[in-house]
Amino acid sequence: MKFAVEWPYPVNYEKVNEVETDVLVVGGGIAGSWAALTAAKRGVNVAVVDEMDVFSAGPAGCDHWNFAFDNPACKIKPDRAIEILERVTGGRVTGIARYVTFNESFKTLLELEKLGAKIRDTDDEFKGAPFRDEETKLLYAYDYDIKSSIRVWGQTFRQALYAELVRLRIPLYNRILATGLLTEGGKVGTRVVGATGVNIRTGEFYVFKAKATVLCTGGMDGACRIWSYWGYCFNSLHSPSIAGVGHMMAFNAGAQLAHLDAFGIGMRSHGEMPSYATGNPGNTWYPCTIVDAKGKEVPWVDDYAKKSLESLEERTRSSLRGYEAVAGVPTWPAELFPRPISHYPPSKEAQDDFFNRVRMGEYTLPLYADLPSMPEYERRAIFGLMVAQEGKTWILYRNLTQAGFDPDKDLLQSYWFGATAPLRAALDPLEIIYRQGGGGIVHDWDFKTSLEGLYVAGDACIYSSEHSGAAVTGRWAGAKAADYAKKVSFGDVDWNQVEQERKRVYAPTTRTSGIDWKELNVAICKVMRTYVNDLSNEEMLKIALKWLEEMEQGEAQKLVARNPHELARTLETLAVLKNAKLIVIYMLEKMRRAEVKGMLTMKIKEDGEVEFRELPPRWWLQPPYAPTYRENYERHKPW
Amino acid sequence: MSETKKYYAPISVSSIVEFDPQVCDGCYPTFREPLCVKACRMDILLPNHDRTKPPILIYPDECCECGCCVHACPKSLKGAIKMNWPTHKQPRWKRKTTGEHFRVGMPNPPPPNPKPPVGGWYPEVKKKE
Repeated sequence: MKFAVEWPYPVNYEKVNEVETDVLVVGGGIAGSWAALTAAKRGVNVAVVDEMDVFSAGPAGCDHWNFAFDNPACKIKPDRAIEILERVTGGRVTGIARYVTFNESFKTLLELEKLGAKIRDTDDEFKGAPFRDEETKLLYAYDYDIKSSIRVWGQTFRQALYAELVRLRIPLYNRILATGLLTEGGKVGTRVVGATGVNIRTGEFYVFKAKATVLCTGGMDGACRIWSYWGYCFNSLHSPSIAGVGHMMAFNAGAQLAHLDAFGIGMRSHGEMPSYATGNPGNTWYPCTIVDAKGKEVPWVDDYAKKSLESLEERTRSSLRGYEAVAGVPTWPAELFPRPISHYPPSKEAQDDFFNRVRMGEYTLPLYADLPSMPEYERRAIFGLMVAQEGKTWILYRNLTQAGFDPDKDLLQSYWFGATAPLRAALDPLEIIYRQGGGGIVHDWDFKTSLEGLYVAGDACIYSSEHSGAAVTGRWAGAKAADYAKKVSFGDVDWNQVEQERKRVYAPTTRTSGIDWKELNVAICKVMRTYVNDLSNEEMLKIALKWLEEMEQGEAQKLVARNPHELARTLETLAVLKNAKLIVIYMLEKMRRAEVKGMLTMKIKEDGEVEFRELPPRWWLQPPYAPTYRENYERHKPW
Repeated sequence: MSETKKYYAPISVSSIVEFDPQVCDGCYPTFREPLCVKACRMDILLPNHDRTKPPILIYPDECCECGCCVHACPKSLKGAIKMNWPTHKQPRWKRKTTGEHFRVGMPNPPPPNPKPPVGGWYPEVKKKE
């Protein structure tokens, strides 16, 4: 057996390729694909650059199409939805991306259907099911009264978008990791005139000149590399290549970032089992019955209505639970969903109560998802549609059925029960394992960042969310970027800036001894887990900053990359280090300010100083913007 | 110079992605690169120097288990490529009527459940005009 394989691609670290395009889309996932398609339809030249192959780039799956408040059948309208969102989040959420999504989600899904995606039960497999609209053959999820979430054949989505990109002959620069943005005169805070990248197979350098650039690079810690690289979320569908490179690039160029302290708390990825391949009652598996080892059903409660649920039907119809349909709004906050008392109890008392019942023998562990007890349509919808057809979870259906699992007969073990994410953080602050929604690049109603020529879409935005959010914001930003590109000429690339970036990028290839990226990445996580959590004080944050800065000067200068693949991971890790530092700096500033009522933004100035600005609460509804969501939406709508 | 220097990637002992060399033909000559290689989000599958042979897995610890490689394979249903979850990540279940325990990857497994997903393994993607 061999211990090494010769690199099959020709490597050339010296070569510089130049590409010119009206609109450059950085990141070819869902947001990026839509941005590219929409821009191209407006008659400009478009190029997409992605570290993966656009063929499977981005999340590459979708099990629910969420936020379809613009669906005529949906009981909650967009304006009502944003009102609820603002209320349940205490106004902390920036409403632009969400409101636009609420108004365009269903329209975008119909566009996707035209491209060939499967969104309807055309084979009538679910005829008569309570979640099926018999006329449109759409299958709803979560709350069959509200109809804001739609069960779909998500594996066809990525394919449909890819096929259209290929059909329109949009150049796809696959396997190229973007490394930095180019700015006019090479200066911080000026117009963005393109980007640089490195091919992760050949090591060749790329200089993209563009009139407009759209960042669609995903979340800042989409791959859980800032807090939890080792053994937690890693290896569970979170592609480690979504490493916050876009945030680093935007910050270095002078764009404003915000909400960097808005980290969510991860779930140790379904008990460190393949995500969604174990029994659970939420999300993809909603509303699956949970039983204990003796087959006793764990009762469901609705914490919002403070009542126990007697029937399966009550889990899926808020009208039967006797309150206004707040919980019909999908995915946020998850705490508003009914659940079995074993899973995501809302308080420490509720969790202790369940654990005590186990100790007293009322329930016997382990717990299982009881698909066989569900009506055939629910069982088939959960396992045969949601799990099997999402795309990234297709492999779960494949592997489980190949191994003999039969949802008609078998109880799938549940590994992950107990606390909700916020409760988990309260019980163990070190449990923070990834950031979610929230932190991002500040943008206006046109999805333009604070930099001329730079647009943003998808999870890189502040408070965009989900597949439908990425699709909608991608379309919007792509249209706006195209309109901008039509009005301007190319900016000048500063070749000193290019040379500096090349020097930075290839430094790890010039070293023959030192450390590899994995060691540094784990070390960053160690610092973040130790000092940057729910218990952080100023002293802890200062210590964290000290160690991160020391690593920046020390270990980061010793990184070795032996081939272009290792080079790409190394460059990602440098972005992770930079972003970790930004988070700490941001949190320190917030701590020093007695009270931040609005939104604290940070950016770098030309002299290298970090500048903080406090934007007023709901700044997106204040001059120069219109006072209502609706007016802004209508005024900025690109169609 | 880069033309003369040879580059390598280490090979680990891992079967997280497993090929059946009797079935896998490296997608040769139908596709420019094997589709599993094209689909891999981490770029940890390298095309074999002999293009008719299965790709080679490098850096298996970077695998995010998305299964895109298996999904993309034109011969996946014929067993050309499999994803084997690491031993500690094999889901377990119990047969409701008999109480028997099972896990993915167990020796002497029960027969496969042949039921395809709703809409089939690969629903058609066709643009509507």
